[in-house]
Amino acid sequence: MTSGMADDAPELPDTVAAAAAAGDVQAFERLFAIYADPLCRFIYSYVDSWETAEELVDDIFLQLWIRLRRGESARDVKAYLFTTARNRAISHLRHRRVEARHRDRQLPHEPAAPEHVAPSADQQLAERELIAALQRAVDMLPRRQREVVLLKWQRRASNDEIAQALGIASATVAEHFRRALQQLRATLPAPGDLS
Amino acid sequence: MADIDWVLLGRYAAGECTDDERAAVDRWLAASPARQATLGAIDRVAAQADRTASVVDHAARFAKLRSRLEAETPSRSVAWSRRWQPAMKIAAGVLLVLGTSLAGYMAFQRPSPSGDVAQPIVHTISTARGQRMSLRLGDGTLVLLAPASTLRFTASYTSDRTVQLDGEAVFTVTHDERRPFRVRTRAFVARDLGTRFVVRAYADDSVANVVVAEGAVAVARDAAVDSVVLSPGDGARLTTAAGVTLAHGLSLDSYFGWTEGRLVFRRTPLADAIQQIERWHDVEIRLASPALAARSFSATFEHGESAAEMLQVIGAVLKLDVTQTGRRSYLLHAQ
Repeated sequence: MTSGMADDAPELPDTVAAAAAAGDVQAFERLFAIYADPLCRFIYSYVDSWETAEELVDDIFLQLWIRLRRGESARDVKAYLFTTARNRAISHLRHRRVEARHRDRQLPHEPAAPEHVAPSADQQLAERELIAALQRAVDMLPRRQREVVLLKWQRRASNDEIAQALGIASATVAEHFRRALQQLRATLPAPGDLS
Repeated sequence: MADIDWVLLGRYAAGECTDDERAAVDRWLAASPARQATLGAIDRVAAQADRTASVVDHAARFAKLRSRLEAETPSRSVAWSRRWQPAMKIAAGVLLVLGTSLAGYMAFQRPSPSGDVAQPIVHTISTARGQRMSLRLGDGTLVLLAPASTLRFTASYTSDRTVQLDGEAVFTVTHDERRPFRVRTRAFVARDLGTRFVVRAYADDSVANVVVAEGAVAVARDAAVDSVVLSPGDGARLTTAAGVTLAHGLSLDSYFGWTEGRLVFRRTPLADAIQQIERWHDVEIRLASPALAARSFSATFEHGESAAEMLQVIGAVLKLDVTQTGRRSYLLHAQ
């Protein structure tokens, strides 16, 4: 079995979805295997809980299954999955905020550091949206490019170190990194504009 | 100077900019918090690559979902389950599917010293300081691994499910009478009786803890000795000096909070809190005087505060001054 990341062959999700719509559970599982992890990470970017992310992803696939079986459109299933994931994540956050407010009313406040001003809910959400968008873009990179980018960002590993860890040439590492960043530039809105 | 775009920011985050480029990015970042958030997003995605790198058996996860799918279309379910049988057998054989865990990847890259194929393969998963990871073992057990921890397990659970832990982890175990799930540490063996529990047993700590959230856990110094059974809210604390002590009605949040992104301290001695913050944030924290180590405090950190922010709060509570002595090092001293 492959890991959850596809190198994102563009025609795959929709043909698989079409097969799933016809009741092919194995095709549906392939869809799950491709998108479950990227969707979990995407949702995790909003909700900060892996368990919650897994639960929401299961729900999203269940909902997709019901839609497909009802004969609703199977077109652009990838966009559908991420849009639904975003909506679910945001509504989960709202729900949690309401709960937290409720809790705050019952508990005495812990003294906050005086100069600490909490960012507004809108600003926090905008930041989470940005993290989620970047997470999604990184997850949709071809596998090697993704590995290289993450190793560089995480550990500031040199081309040689990464080359050794992944068993590829050092020049190839540099090329993967270059292409990955270009791809991110092509998919993401220009940096600095939180909307 | 070229526009600041994702290519340049990406190289900046990787430490690959020229001096001029770095200066330009620094100027650009200084102008607004929204711009700094872009770099924050890069850091966060890099950090959560490990935190969320699931070593997940998709087949096992999907098998659970499948019953819900079937419930949605009853008329077809018989045909499906027949078609599914061979696939499920394979799924049972594939006990562990590697995700894209980078930390895991690095660990797996190291060749085993013996190279012996007949031996059961022992997997080693480690988190660095500042990292956490969630992984699902082949038997369905969910493990949340805290920073600076190492878990060793074999990929076959034929009769015995024993894992080895150095560090801290929360286990959510599906109980199986015939195949007890055991966690072995330097200090003790914990055996599940149907359960969610946390084990904290770092090799460099003098204390080891087991705390139960659900179900029951039997704890013993080693498998041969009689064990103590813990219920929800109970904890066992093992020290080299005092042996085993039991506690009841513990605040579960201070032991399990980290699985939901909270660090909770309840009358925690400063020395212990510091050690935890060091592991979680990969920083060095020193005390100006050893007398400070025993002072205790309570605090809850919910929103991914940085080490500096946590120390400010702790400093305010304990009336200590915090001095940053290096990029990742801090000194606490009495005011």
